[in-house]
Amino acid sequence: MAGVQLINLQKNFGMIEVCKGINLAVKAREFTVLLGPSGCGKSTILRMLAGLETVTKGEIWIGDRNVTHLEPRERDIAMVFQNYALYPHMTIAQNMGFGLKARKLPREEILSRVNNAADLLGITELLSRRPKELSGGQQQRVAIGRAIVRDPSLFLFDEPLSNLDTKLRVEMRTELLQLHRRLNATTIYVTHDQEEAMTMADQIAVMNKGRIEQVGTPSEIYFKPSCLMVAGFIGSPAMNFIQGQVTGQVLETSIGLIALSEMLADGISVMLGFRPDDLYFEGELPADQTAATVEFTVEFIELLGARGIVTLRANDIQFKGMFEQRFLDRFSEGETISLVLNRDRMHVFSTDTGNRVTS
Amino acid sequence: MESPFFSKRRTMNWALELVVALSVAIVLFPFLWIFLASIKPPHLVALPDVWVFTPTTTNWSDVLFDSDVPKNIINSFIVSIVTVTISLIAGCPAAYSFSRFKTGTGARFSILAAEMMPPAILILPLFLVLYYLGLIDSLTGVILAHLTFVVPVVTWFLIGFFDEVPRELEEQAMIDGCTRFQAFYRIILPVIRPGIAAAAVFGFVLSWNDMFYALILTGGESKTLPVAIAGFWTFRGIEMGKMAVAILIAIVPILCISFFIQKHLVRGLGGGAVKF
Repeated sequence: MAGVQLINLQKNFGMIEVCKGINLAVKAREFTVLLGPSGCGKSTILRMLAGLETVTKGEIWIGDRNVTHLEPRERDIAMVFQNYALYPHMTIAQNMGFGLKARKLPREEILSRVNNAADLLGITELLSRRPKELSGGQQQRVAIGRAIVRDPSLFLFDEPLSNLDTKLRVEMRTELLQLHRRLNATTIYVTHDQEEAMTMADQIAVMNKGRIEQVGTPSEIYFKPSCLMVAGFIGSPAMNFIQGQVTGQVLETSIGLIALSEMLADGISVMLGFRPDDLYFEGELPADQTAATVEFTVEFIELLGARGIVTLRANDIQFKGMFEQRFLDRFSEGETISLVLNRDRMHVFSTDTGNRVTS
Repeated sequence: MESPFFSKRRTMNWALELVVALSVAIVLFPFLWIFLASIKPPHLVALPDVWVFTPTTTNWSDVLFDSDVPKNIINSFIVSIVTVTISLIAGCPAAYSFSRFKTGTGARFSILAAEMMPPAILILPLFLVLYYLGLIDSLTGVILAHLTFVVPVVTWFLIGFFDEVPRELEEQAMIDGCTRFQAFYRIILPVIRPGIAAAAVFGFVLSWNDMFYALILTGGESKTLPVAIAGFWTFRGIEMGKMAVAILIAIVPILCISFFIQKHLVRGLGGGAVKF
C-alpha cells in the first residue's frame, strides 16, 4: 500500500478555477475523506487522482511514483463510482474479473481472486447473475468487490453510498469500515455527507470553493474547526453564530456579554460560534465554565427520538439547541427559558478572515 | 354488478380497438391489393374492382425464372449490406466521438447537411466524380452514393444511444486496464448493441429502398431491385402483375429483418449499468 501526495494541484475548466492549489498528504493505509458541499471540487480531485481528468498544474504522487500524467490504467488504482458503473452485458463474475483479464492474469488466478472477494462480501451466489438482476445494495457490493480483486495501491470512492436508502447506507458504512480495517488499504473517499465522513475517516479534508479549508481527524474538525466555513458545515444542526466586539476577555454581543476563555485583542470584531449541544440549564455548569446566561424564547420543539432540537430566539436572532428527550418537557413553545453557554466550548472566528482566533 | 365506470371504460376499449383495427386495415390494404395483383391473370390486372378470379402463378414464374429480377435482388443485397457495414464501421466511432467530445455542436449538425439537401443537388457532382473514376453502372458507385446519406443518418441515430451510456462505464474500464479504444469496443459497443441493430435496420432500409441514385448511376449489370421495379413501366404500358411480384419480393427482406431483430430493438440491456 502506498501513500498519496497532492502538490499544489490545480484544475481549470476554461476560465473557471475548480481546484486552487490543493496540497494534501495521505499516509499509507489511511482512510481519508474529502468532504465538502456540492461543487467544491472534491470529485474533480478524485478524478484527477484516477487520471480521468487532466491536471492543469501541480503533481500527484502515489507512493514513490509521479503519476500526474499517467493514463488511468497505469496508476494501479481502483475506483468505486456513485452509480456503480457495472458492465451491464457481463455477469457479476465477469464484471469482477474484467480488470484482471485486461491485465492478462491467468484464468485460475482470476477465478480464485473473484471467488475470494465474493466470499468476503457475501455475494458468491450472485456471481452468475447480471447487474440488472441485483438490488442497489448488491450492486454496491459488486462494485466494491471489483475494486478489491485488483489489490491496487489506492482505493478511490466517489460518493458510493449516496444512491442507497438511509438504512442500507448505514449498514454499508459499517461494512466498508470493517473492510477497510481488514484490508488496510489506502483509501480516499469523497462525500458531502458529514456523518459518513465523521464515522469512517482517519483524516478528513474539508473543502470549499476549490480549496482545502482544514485537514484533521474527525474530532479535530468537530471540536476545533479552523474557520467559519468548517464550523458551519460540520455538525447537525449547524453551529450557532453571533457577532460581537472583543473587550479584553469579554465579548459584547446583542444577546449580552459573553466571557471568553482567552484574552483577545481589544476592539476586534469576531464571530462567536457554539454548537447546539453546548447549551446547558442553569446550575448545570460550575461558575468558572459559565460564559453567559441568556434568556431565550422557545419557538419550536422537534423530537428526533432520544434527542430533540429546540429552536430558540434571543434578541431577534435564531439559535438551535440539542437536548436529551428527558429534558424536553422543560421547554414549552412561546415561553422563555434561561440557558447557559459553556466557556470552554466557544469557538471564536475573525469576522475579517473567517479564521479561528482562539486556540 | 358492473359499475357504470367499468361499462364506460369497456365501451372506450371497444372504440379504441375499432380505431386500431381500422388503422391496421388501412395500412395492410395496399399489400393485399399488390398481392392480388400478383396472382391476377394479366387481362384482369388493370381492373382493381375485380375481386373474384382464378389465381395464376404466371407473374411469379415470369419474374423469378424469366427476368433479371433475381440478379437485381442480389445486387440490392450486396449494395445494402456493404453500405450498412461501412456505415456502422464509420458511424460508431463517429457517433461516440460526437457524444463524448463536445467539440463544436456545428460539426454534429453539419454531418446532416447532405441529408437536408434535395438529392438532386448531390447527384450531378456524384455522377461526375463516379464517371471520372469509371464507376458508373457499378455496384461500387451505388454503394459510394448510398454512403453519402446512410453514414450521416446512422451516425446521427447512434449519437443518442451513446449519450445514454454513462461515461462512468468507460472510465471504469479505463481504470480497469483498458485504453479508451478498448473501453469503446469491449464495453460501450456491446452495451449499445440494440442501438447498433436498430441503426443497421434503418440504414439497410434506406439503401434497399433507394431508387433515385440507383436509377441514375446504374443501367445494366448493376441495376438494383427498385430500379428493376420501375423498369416494369415499359413503353407498352405498366406490367402491373410482374411489378406487383417484384414489389412483394422487395418487401420481404425488410419484414424478415425487422422481425428477427425486433428483440434486439427492445431497450433494456442498459439496465443495471447505473442506478438513478
